[in-house]
Amino acid sequence: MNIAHHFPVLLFVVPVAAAATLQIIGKIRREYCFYWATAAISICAFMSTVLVWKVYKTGPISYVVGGWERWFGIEIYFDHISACALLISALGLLIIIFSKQYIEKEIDERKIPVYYTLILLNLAGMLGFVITGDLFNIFVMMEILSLSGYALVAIGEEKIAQLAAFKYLVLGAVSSLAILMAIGFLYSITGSLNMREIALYLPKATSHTPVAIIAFALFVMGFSVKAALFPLHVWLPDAHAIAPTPVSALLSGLVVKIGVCGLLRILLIYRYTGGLIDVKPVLNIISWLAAITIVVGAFFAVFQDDIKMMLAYSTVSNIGYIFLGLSLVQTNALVGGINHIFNHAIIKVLLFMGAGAIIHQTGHRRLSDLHGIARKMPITTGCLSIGIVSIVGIPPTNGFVCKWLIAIGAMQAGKPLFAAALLFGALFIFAYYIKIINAAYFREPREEYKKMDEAPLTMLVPIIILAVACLVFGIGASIPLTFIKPVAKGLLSVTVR
Amino acid sequence: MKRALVFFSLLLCFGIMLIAVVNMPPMGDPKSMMMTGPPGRAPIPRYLSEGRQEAGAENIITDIILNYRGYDTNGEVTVIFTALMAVLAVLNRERKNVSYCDIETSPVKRSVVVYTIVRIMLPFILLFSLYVILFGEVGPGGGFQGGTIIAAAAIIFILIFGYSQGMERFPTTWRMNFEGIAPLTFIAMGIIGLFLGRNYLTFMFPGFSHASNLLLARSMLMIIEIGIGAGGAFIFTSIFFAMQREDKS
Amino acid sequence: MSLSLFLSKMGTNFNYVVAITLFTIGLYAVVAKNNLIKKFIGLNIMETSCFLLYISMGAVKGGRAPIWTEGMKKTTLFVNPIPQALILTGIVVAVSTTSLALSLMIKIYEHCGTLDAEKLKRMETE
Repeated sequence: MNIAHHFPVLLFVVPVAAAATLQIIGKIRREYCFYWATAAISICAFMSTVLVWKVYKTGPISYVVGGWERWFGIEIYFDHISACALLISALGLLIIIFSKQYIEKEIDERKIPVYYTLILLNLAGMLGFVITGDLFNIFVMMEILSLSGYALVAIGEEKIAQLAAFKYLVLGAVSSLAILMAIGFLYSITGSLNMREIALYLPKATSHTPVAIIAFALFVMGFSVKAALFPLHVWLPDAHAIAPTPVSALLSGLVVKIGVCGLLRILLIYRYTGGLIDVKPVLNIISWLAAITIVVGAFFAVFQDDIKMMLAYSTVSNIGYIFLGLSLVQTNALVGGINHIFNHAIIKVLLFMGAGAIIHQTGHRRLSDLHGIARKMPITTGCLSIGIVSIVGIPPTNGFVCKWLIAIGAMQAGKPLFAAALLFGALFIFAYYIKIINAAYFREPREEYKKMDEAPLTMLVPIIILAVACLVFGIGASIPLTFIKPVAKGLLSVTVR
Repeated sequence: MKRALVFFSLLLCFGIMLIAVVNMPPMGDPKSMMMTGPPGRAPIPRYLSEGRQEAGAENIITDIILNYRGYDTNGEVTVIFTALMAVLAVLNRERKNVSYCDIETSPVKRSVVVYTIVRIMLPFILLFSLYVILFGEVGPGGGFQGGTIIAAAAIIFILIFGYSQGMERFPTTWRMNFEGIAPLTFIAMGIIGLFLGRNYLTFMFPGFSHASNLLLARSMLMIIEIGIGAGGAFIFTSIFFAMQREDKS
Repeated sequence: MSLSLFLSKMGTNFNYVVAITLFTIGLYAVVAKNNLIKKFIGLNIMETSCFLLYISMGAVKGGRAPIWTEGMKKTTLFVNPIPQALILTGIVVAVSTTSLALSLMIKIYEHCGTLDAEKLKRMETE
């Protein structure tokens, strides 16, 4: 039995099996939950590395569950976009390692096995989402990761956590329904649920063009809510700020990117439409909304005192960057946008983890309380400042590469206004982050910090790994770019008519 | 002002979807795209004519959800398991020595009529649910439907007979082990396909004769149905227990 | 498209029109109602309307349920089984969202003592 052949489906099966048995493991001893979860995600990380390597060498892998033909059964199609699976499992592993010490302080100890189960299910849903090639399967996987996301936001004990989770739930459920309706419309006119099949038969359904266009609009609306594009971003700041920090890292770094990946898949379906469906007006609207998102997110981030609220608004702003890159039909912008998916995930998880380490050690979340942290927690603050430098976009960090590409693309597409919006957003964030660095490094520490130590090792190691990754992918930016260029070429051969 | 905005945007939404719906293929058309499919690659005619022999069940829908599109059902049982975990994350599990709102202490006394009828009907309801689960292959029904009926029976029992009786029959420590049974059964049956050299969730294998293949497929489908049914029942009962609130009186 | 053609198409696809009407009604309840439970009932109405849309898509004139019993030949007309399979999954997803939302409402009521959206918004900003 050649197990490597089955890696695509095992990427989803292993976390689900681990999650289903975690309750029993937790009954034996509560400490084992952590090791069980870590083992499961490490296996996933290994499998995704092997798969990404295979895709790089020989092209996309197709695996049909049940051994049927592609138009019959459910196909798992591991292509270049699915390389996100490596990002998801690697960052998931680091988040689980980080949460070991953090979560014991933050939530009720009876809920700890449930917490690990939900994280595993969320990661399983994300992995299932990016690898699948079947349209209805995307809906099911999206529901797995959405439900676990809502629950993870609500797992704390404060009353505001439940309210934020409820708002998130209502908006998320409405968007899932919009996507379900759109899937129904597409199925009725093409008769197939396989994404590659639909792409082949959509141009032949000429008598039903309005249905396809409206299905596209519904898809865009549904995925925009999941990815928090203005004006549908209102659920994000509360949900991401109130959740426990590892959960915020998971949601901000990975779950919002799922909305973007979904939109990429839909753009790939509407590919071979040969002029039937002109997606350009929609992309135009998206680019304007993206520019507004960048500015609005950065603007609100500046006025926050709570560090996690600020990072949440910064996520909104960066999602604007990604959408801007995706909607300008221009090679550099597209490459920059997809690269930013990858880079922003790393940076945002690093920032949330650094903030979490500080909150764990000091118990304070407000920036005005964090004076002089750097003297007591040098490594954490150092890595945090690398993250800050990345997100503003200063070389040689990875944030610089993608923002530069998007800006160049905006100029080349003849829209200098968007490049200005980009710069504007970056300057806002820059001003605010200077404030943080000033408070952390150049003020006297408070009395209560005199006896404080550096963060514990399980929290420190992931932070250091991510900070190093920021620098590595900044200097060696060609590593992800060789992967992203085929995706961009594939998408562009389509959206430009 | 706000009301006007809401009404106008809802009307716009309705209008857009009306345009979509009017342009859809006519309803009830036997020659529509879905039934005839892309020529040569149409799934529906093949499901309908070959499903009985290829997939092992007379109910074509059971064929589809457990065999052809079994991966989606795998996802679905994971969703229901996630729902249980989500409810437990928000409301903790019920505790051992705490009293919950119960019919014994409620101001509305237990009615003799309801009590007697529930006592008589409960075994029949459970029998019916078992019938629905096991006959899912040859008639309407299936694993999840039967599991929900069992859970409904359990909930009626707990409501009428009292919380302490409920805890005695469905103790938490014993229930906790079986909640994950639905995804695990699916994965176990799917992995069998991996060991015998074919893809995940394959039920028919090349080395066997057709008759024994059919028998194998049918028994595997049955095991999955029972797994889904039992899992669904445990999950809903646990959700009900978790939603009990403490008796503050 | 002329008005008579439009109306006749609405007549053939009547189930679909009802489905999207229900969807809009549900959306109105989610957006405009103040009580959290009413918002949630609106969400349930929206979900049910999606199921109606799917199942109506699978209807075939004169078709039977896709179950092979005695006396059926290869030429018997069956209804489309795929939307029914999709909706089985959809119903489970809707029930899962319902259970999570209800448990959140239980907790909100315990903490804040009210289920009124306006009052909760004011409490949040305090």
